[in-house]
Amino acid sequence: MKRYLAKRLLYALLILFLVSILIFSIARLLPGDPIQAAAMMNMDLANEEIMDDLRSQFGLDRPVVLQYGVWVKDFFVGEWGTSFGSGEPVFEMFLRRLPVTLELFAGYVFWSFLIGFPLGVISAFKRNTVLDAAITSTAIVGISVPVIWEAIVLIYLFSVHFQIFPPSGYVPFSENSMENVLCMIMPTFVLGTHSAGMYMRYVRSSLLEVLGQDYIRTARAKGLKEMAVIMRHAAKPAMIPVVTVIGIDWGYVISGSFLVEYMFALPGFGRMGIDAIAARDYPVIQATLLIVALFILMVNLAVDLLYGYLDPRVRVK
Amino acid sequence: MAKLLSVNNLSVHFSTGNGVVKAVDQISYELNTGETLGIVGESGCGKSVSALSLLRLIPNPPGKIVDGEILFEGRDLLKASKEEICDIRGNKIAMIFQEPMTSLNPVLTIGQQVAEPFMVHQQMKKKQAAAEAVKALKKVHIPDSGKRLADYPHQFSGGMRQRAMIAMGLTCAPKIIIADEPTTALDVTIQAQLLTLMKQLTIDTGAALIIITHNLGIIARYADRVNVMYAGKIVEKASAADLYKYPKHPYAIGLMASVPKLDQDVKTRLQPIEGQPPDLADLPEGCAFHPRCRYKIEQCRVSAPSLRTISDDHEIACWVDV
Repeated sequence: MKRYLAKRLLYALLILFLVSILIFSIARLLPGDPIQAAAMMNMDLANEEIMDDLRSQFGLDRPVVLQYGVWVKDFFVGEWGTSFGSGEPVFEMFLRRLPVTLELFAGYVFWSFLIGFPLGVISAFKRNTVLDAAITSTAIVGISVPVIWEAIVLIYLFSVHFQIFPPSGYVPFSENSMENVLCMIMPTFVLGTHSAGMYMRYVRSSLLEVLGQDYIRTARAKGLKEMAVIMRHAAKPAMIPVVTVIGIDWGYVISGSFLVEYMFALPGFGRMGIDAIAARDYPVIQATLLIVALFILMVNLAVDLLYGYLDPRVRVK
Repeated sequence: MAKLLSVNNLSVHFSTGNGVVKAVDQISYELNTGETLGIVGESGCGKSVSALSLLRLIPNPPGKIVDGEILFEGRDLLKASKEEICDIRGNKIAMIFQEPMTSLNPVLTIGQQVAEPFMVHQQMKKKQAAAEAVKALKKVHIPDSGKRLADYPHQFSGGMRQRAMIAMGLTCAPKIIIADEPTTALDVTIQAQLLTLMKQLTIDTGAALIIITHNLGIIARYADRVNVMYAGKIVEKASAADLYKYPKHPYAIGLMASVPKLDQDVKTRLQPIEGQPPDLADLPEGCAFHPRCRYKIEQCRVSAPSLRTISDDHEIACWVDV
């Protein structure tokens, strides 16, 4: 297990290295540089000497490899540069927005698990009944409906028509916990239902497949009660494909969360990233991309480790 | 010998897209303490289903035990509650499955799986059950069994997996052991090793053994009595010695003629049974075997024969005296 862990970690670091080069290059590949862009706005800077002076001040005249090294080094000590737009340190911008995005993510996980898993299990045990058909078709609706459309419908229903939840905006938990929960319910639900449909279908099919295996019959033949058969013999192998799907889904949910943050005017990472792209705010774009990449890598690492835990055959290889 | 199990008029039906399949049709047999009963027949003749139904392990749907009784220790297993049947499974009646690759759970260690019956049926704690599992594995000659306890099935060879299955089946010293094609996936030397081992262990514990197989050699060597099944019915019941010397049912005669014997002239050709086994959803009228039978008479097309005694402890279901 230790070797497996070390190997996975090494892979993750290697990929992170490659991704960081990619992110860094994308920013450099854009025509012009930040100083030139600033000079377009400010006539005082439109002088070759001043511009060269500024370039050396920001380290832009140094070799690209060195610039990359400095960026990576600074990133790991929390110096993420300053935003061109607001002049605020990027790291502080992130810290300010972190709770919003984390809350959104936690709520999303809550809804998707709460809806997806029990329905999948029920559906598997009641297979080919009316209930199963109802759950399965609801799941398809959940998967097919676009996040934007669902958000609009929910806002119309529960903010305009019934006025239960605020239509948009964010109240920090520390300020007013009740209002904080109220304003997060709809955005997290929209994100959650989309994934819940997918989880439900995977839980159902993988549980059904495992329950048809010979070793389940062996477990029953040993005299285990049905509950023990499921918890001890079926649960772990049935989780393997589900974990895969969750891992992929958590990567995709980032784009969904960008949309949801925009729709419900939540000041999270997604909002910041979109605003930064619109304003060509390079330090913020770079930092956002790297954080997203880091998150996806961590999810993948977690999935790999879970595989190792769930399936002993993976551990050995 | 004391009667241990009697199966009376057991019928198991499967509902499929093509109609109802009578996988097991009105079969009756008895099993005495300490004896080895062989059940032979082609694939799909209902031998596995008849064995699985003893422990009510037929997947339902699509399968259903529609009729009959299975008397074990004075009670009908088909009427027992779920708790009672769980109490019997693995404890009084144990099953050893074919395909040890798929019949063992790939994500649990051998130790966990072998120890399970001890924990379920003898209320042992984990440590004690693990200690017993080591002993059980030792009994089936798994070397270094203390260390191998933590291994997963994929780290075992095919023969070792099957031995672990046998160890698992024998844990609670059951009264009846059902071995469903126990050695199908193994090579011949290991087959012989395991069957001898299994037979020895049942002799040690006084358990009765039911061996289900299509391998006539295994039956000849290990079984005391034999049921020959064809299309869901028992067509011949005899002692193993009798069956080999004097098979009476045309199907059994055909089976014997299709197997090479060491003492036979090398130039004689083996005689296969002509035709295909019938579609169980669409059985022929009368005797199910008659389209393939060389001895058929008019009667065979009209009605199906039931078992009749032809000599001591020898019954056949056939209209003809061959």
